[in-house]
Formats: sequence, C-alpha cells, structure tokens
Amino acid sequence: MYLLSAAFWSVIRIFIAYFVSLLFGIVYGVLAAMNPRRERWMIPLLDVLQSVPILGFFPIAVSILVFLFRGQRIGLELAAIFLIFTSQVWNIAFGVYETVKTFPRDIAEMALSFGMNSNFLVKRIYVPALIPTIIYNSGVSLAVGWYFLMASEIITLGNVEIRLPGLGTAMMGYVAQGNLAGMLITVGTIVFINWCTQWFLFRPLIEWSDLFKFGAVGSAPEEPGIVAFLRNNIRWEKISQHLDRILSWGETLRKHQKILSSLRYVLYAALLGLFAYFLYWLLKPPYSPRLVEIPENLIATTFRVIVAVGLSILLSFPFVIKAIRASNTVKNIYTLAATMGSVPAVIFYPLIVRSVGREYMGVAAVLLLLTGSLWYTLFNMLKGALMIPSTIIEMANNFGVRGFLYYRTILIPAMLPSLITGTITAWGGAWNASMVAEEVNFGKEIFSIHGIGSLLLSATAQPKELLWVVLAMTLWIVFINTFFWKRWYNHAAEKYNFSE
Amino acid sequence: MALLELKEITKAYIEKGKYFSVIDEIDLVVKEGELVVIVGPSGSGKSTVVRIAAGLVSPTKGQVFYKGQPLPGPNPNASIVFQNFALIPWLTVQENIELVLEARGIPPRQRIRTALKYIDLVGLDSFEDAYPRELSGGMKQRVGFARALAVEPEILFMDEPFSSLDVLTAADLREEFLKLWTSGKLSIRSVVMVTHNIEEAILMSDRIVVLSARPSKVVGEIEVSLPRPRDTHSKEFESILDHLYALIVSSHISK
Repeated sequence: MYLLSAAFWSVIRIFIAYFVSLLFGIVYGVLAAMNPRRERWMIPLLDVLQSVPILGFFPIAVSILVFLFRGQRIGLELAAIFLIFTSQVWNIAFGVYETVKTFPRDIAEMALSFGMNSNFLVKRIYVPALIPTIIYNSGVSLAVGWYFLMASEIITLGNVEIRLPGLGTAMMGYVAQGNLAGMLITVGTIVFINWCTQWFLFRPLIEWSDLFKFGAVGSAPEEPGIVAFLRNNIRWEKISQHLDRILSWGETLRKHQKILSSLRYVLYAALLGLFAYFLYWLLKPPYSPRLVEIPENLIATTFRVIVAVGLSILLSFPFVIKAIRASNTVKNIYTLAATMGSVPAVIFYPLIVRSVGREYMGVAAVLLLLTGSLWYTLFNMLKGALMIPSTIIEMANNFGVRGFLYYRTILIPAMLPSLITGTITAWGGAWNASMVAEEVNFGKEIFSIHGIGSLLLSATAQPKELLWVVLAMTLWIVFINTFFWKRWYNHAAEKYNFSE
Repeated sequence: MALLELKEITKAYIEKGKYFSVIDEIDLVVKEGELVVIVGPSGSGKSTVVRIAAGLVSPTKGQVFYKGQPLPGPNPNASIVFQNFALIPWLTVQENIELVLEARGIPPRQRIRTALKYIDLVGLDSFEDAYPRELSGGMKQRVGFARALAVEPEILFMDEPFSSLDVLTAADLREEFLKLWTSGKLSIRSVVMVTHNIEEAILMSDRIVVLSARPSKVVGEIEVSLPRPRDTHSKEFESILDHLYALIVSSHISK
C-alpha cells in the first residue's frame, strides 16, 4: 500500500513535468527555428541550459520556491517538478528546433505558395511533422526524468532534510534500513511502470509516427487506440480557437510597437541593474577560503566525466551494429534501453559505495556517471544509425566493404554528427551525475571524494560560496562546449552530410 | 496582353565573402493564353526563376509585374506543381487538397466539393482516402496537379513536373495535362513550365525560352506553333529540335 501511494506520487510528478516540458519544448523550439532574430539568442541560451548540470542549480531553485511558498509542501512539490522538468525539456526543445530547421524545402515552399500564414503553417504542418521527433525524444526524456526524480524527492536545505512521498524516498528509506527486499520491490515497481509506458504507450506511438515522416513509403500504419481516444475525447477545435485568440492577441500587441519597445528597454534596464547588483554582491569581499579549491576539483571531475563518456561510446557500439544488421530489432533495443535507462542507478549507489569501500569510490563514481551518460550516446547513435540511407549500406554490402574498413570509412563517419550530439548530451548527463556521485551520506558517516560535486554539496549552507562554485562550473562547461564540441560538431555536420 | 512580366531579374548570393550570381538580368514576358517553357542545363537557376516569378523568392535586383502591378509577395493567383510533389504524408489525397483550400479560407462544404471535383478531373476517383505513401509516383503527381488546380489559379507554374516520373507515366500525364489545358475547362490563363527535357519542351510549349548555364541569361527564344497533338517524328518537330539543340550548345561554347 505504501509503495502504491509512493508510486502514484512519483508518476504524477514525472508526468506533470513531462507535459510541461512537452509544451515548453515545442513552443521554444518552434519560436527559435522560425525567426532568425530570436534564433540568435534562443539557441545559445538553450545550449548553455542543456549543458549545465541542473542538479547544481537545484539547491538555489529550492531555496527560492520554499521561500515563496513559506515552506509549504506545494513549494517543495513545485521544486521537485521543476527539477524533473529541467532534466526533460532541453532534449525535446532541441529536437523540435532541429526538425523545424531541417524542414523539407519543397513543403515550406508549397505552404508559402498556397498562401498559408505562419499560424496555419505551425498548427497544420509543423506540429504534425514534429510528432516523430517528439515521440522519439520523449522516451529519453522520461527515462532521464526518473533518474532525477530520485534526487528531487529528498531535498537538503542547509542542515534540514525534507522528504516528499514517492519511490525515491521509499528507496532511500529501505537503503537506510538495509532492507534488501524493500529495495528490490521498489526497483521492480519502477521498472514495471517504465516497461508499461514503453510497451503500451511508446511502442505503438513510434510505429504510428512513421505516418508523419516525409518520404516514407509503403502502407500507412494503423492508428493506435490512444490516439483515437485523444482525438475523440478532447475538443481540439476549441483548443485551436483559443490558441488562435492568444496568437491574434499577440499580433495586436505587436502593433503597439512604441509601447512594446519602451517596455523592452525598461526590462533590459531592470535586468541590467539586477545583474550589476548581483555581481557586486558576489564580488564583495570577504571571499571564502574554499574558492581556491575550485580549479583543482573541477579538473578531478572533468577527468572522471571524460572517462565515463568514452566508456559510454564504446558500450553503445555493439547495440548500434546490431540495430543496423537487423533493423527490426531497433524497436526492441529502443524499448529495452528506455526501460533500463529509467532504472535510477542513483539509488543503488550508496550500496555500491559501501561495498567497495572508500579506496575504490572513484571507480564507483565513474560507474555512476556512466549510468547518467550511456543512454544519451545509445539513443543518439541509434537514431544516427537509422538515418543512414539504405542505399549506402547496400552499396557497402554489394562491394564487400566489411570489417574494420566498413566501420572506419562508412559507419562511423556516417553517424558522426549524431555520435557527437550523443557525446555532447552524454557529457552533460555525466556532469549532472557528478553532483551526486562524489559524496554519499550514511547518516553519521560521510564518504566523499575530491570533485566539484562534493565541493558544491559542502557549500549548500552558504549561498555565496554555492553561487561561486556553480558559476565556475557553468563557465568551464560552456567554455569547453563552445571551443571544443561546437567546432567539432559543425565540422562533422558539414563534412559528413548525406544531402547533396 | 502580358499577364506576367519579369524585368531585369538578378539573383545573387553572398557566401564566404564571395558574390555568386545565379541569375543575371533575365527579362521574360508571359502573355495571356500562353504556355511558356523555360529550358536550361541543370543548375542554371530555372527553378529559381519560377520561384521569383511566383513571388516565393525575392530577387536581388529587378522587379516582377503581375497584370502590370509590381508583385509584393507570394502571388495569390498562382499555384505551383512541384518536382517532388510536396505532398503532406499524414494527410490523405482529399485532405491534402482540402488543406490548401482551407488556407485560402474556403468553407468546409465547398472544400469537400471542390476537392472531389478535382480528384475526379485528374482521374484519381476512389483514391480519395489513400495516403501519398500508398500511391505511385505518377499518382502522387496527379494529386500535385489536382491541388494546384483546385485553388483555381490564373497562372500555373510547373517546376520539372514530370522529371521524377518514369518515361511512360510522364508521357501519359503530359498528354492528359495538355488535353485539359486545350479543352478550356481550367481557370488557368497561362502556364510557365521549367524542364531540362528539350523534347518535352517542344511537345508542350507555345514558346521556349532558353537559359544559359550559371549565371543564367536568356540566350534565345523559339516560337512553337505546331498543331497539337504534336508528332515527335515529324519534320517540323525535328527541325525545331535541331534549332533548339544548336542554341543550347552554342550557349555552352560561348562560355
């Protein structure tokens, strides 16, 4: 009974966060892709938000929400949902943006030539065309959501620890008691819930989403029951009318250019002022002596993250090769990966750390980072492998390009853009996991290793120190992203592109 | 009277600091009742000319006039048949046609009536509920034609409409289109078609405009006044073919 209600609360949190992410991700992605002026600031912002370890910001978000709701449970619930949301949304927003950006040109021209306005275009063409991407990315997003759920249900504020009812809290309880049966049942429940969502929801939806792909051939897939149900039971006409009203309201607002632009300046000024005050507050002495430890800890964590990401790529390869050899297994691999990915490895972590002991905690930490990054490389590389034109694979078979030559000249270059996307997201995932991998609290005993995550946890009691650590980490990650990943990706996307 | 007029149209791109012109000062007049075919080598910017003429792409220099008025944006009296059909995969044949009628603000009942009428006209009756993916290339292009005709435009642009089809299907569809065009049943007053198939150009056109390779210029025009249906083996046809061929080759040599 206890587990049932715990599962109920966890599922509610995940799905609320997921629906908000879906809505936000679609709106953000479409808005960014449709207007170059917006694109210029929305995409770099998305890049930063996507790559920054959200868990690092969690203490800050919790403090704000708890303060706003005066410590009531709703504030904590919102903080938890917010954390899960931030783990799910960027993936969806990015997928949406990329899909709209790479939209078939002739379809866009067709829409223009038949006089479709942008409102009509978004509702009738973009949104349906997004369905395959959204469904595919939702699997990843939900799995990641479960990972963060565990971290979000137990909230530490300074010395106070607050627990929300849910499977994460239940698991921690069993771990503390050393109740193995309880732990197993909890994990079983999580796996079961995920298996059900994958099997009954996403599998049929993925099959159906083929209808929305440009250039697909063969008979049309059948409509799953859930789609028919949604179609018949929700008054889409009404929703669409409301949407139109909001949009036309926006249009009338835009006509008052003067008010709007002056309002914008007021907003800019306010933001600038706020930022200046923030900087002043941050830079004002005294400095905490622990700030000098930041670089050394950053490097320690970076090293572990690199190892974990490298391992993720290596471990993903066998699955990808299997998927290419027999494309009918892709759906199974996907379901398996989505289910496995949702098993929150975080909850086993204390057990593992305890059993390997203090000396090998570094190894255990890399293992945990791996569980936070492997799914990203796997999902992205699978997607990339599926997008290799079948003629290329047939050509390779026909000319007997096999073995090492095949991997070196065809498979790896062909998947390079998606491999890099996977690596970048895995890199983000591993950083995120670092926030929980470097310190384990067993009540009286604390196991801890050097790293930015443990430094961050020890700083939660002092807001200023916390901000310094979070900022240093953010800047470091953004720096590496812009000067390393981005360049590599742009190079690969240009060179290894199948379109002519 | 000129329905459509392109005056000194130039289109250029700036890439990596370099200036590339695709189209160089093209003049083109399309008279009412005329079927004009633009031919040119691949990559000569023929499709861009059509997109500029339809108001989808704005020229770098020059001006497009429709019925004597400068064209500010996509021409509401024009529609386009695309080389790769540009059908929406998740909509059925009928829904694909209804979609563009809806975009033009036509009420639901009339949408259905018009869609069915044009599905019938292109010979797709009983395929109303099929998805594009279930159709052959020729049938897909029939949907493309039905959709373009359904909005009852004054001018029809066709961007290599038969290039993605096999030879027999292309010949069939070409013939059917010419029948419709000469029957006077359509709302269309003029047609502009782009192709790289010179035989097709002579089969269909009243006038052929020959473009050079990039940056394209008009290198010549040929009036084709043979009676329809035209016989590709007739003497007159072959002499026009030779003339056209010579024109294209000379434009290559002069480069």
